[in-house]
Amino acid sequence: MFHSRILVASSVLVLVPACASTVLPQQQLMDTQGAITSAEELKGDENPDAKLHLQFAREQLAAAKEMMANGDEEEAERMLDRATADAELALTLARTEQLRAESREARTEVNELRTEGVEAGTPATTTASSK
Amino acid sequence: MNRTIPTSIFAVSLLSLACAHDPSKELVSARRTYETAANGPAAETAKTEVYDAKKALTRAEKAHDRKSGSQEEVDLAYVALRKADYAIAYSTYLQYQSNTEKAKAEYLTTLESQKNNAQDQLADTKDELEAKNKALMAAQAARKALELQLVSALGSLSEMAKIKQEEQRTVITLNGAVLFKSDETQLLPIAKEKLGQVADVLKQYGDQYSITVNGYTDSRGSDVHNQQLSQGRAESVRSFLVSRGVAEGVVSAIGQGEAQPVADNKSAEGRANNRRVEIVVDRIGTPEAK
Repeated sequence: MFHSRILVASSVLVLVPACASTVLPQQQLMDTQGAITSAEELKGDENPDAKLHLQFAREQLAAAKEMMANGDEEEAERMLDRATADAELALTLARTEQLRAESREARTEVNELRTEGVEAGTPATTTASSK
Repeated sequence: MNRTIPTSIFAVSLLSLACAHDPSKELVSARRTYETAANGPAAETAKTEVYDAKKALTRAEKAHDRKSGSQEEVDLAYVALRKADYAIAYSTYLQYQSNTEKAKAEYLTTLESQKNNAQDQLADTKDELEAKNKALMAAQAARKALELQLVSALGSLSEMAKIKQEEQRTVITLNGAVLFKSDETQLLPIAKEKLGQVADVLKQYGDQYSITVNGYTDSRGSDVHNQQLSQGRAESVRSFLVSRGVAEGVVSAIGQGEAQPVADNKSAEGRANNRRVEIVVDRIGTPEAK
């Protein structure tokens, strides 16, 4: 009975690293996929730079999965790192594009408000530099 | 020939060695992009991201040192390049974020300032309106008081004068016998008393009135005499009004002689009616409140 327990425990110890090495790091995989999805939701495909890196991320993610399936673990993990880096870059580029539009709109609103104030004879007394 | 072959082999070997140590194009790009990030705005605004890029570049450099041109070097350099790109992009993101926040804050400040200015202007306008209303009410009250005084003064003349009031004009017709002795231009005391009450009201209007004193006679006597007599009587009334404070510039005197009779000169009664003085008061504007 005792020997059989050791045998079972040993089998588990052997199997755990075996299982861990046959799949990509799950958290990183989810983060990467999440970044890709977020970039897509932010219309990253409409920005040329973001679109390019989104495409790289998707291709490299697929390649990493294929490499892992083929047993090329180290290469698969490095490919996943590449995919992650591209996905995060694509997401930031998409966010930047969105924020650029917001910034421009906010500045336009300030300028319109100032113009309306002058026309209404109630110009703002504080002056701030326009960007 | 024997010397040429070894030389070529040596050259090719050297070339091979040089190629073996050349960094991958990914590593070259990663180094260049990292330098851009480390020497640009990102160095200040995205320090953590630049540091991550530096760490990634260091790993790629070590891979290069271990085995130049290896797939590991290429992959790690690729990641380093993207992390450097990321640091620059993130710095730009932060810049836009800052610009947006500034613009939004400026919008609120501007709105608040304009609101305050509008409120100030509104308060000023209300004050001005209130002051104008007060002035208008005072002027109306003064006007009303003067009108009452004038009516009262005219009322005192009713026994000796005929009064015709129109919108902008009042015509006071005084019988010559009440004002003057026969063939004289000197005002009788009773006439002075009554005309004095009218003058007290008219003088308060300053130049808001135009007053014309017309003197008339009957048809008896020569035209020249009648003209002189009517002119003298008109002048007499005018002088009296001026002496009682009516502005000199607004009163004029005209001797009309026997012109414009109001009754038949053949009867004694008609001639009596024709001997008269008319005070025509034309209102020009609203009197100032005193």
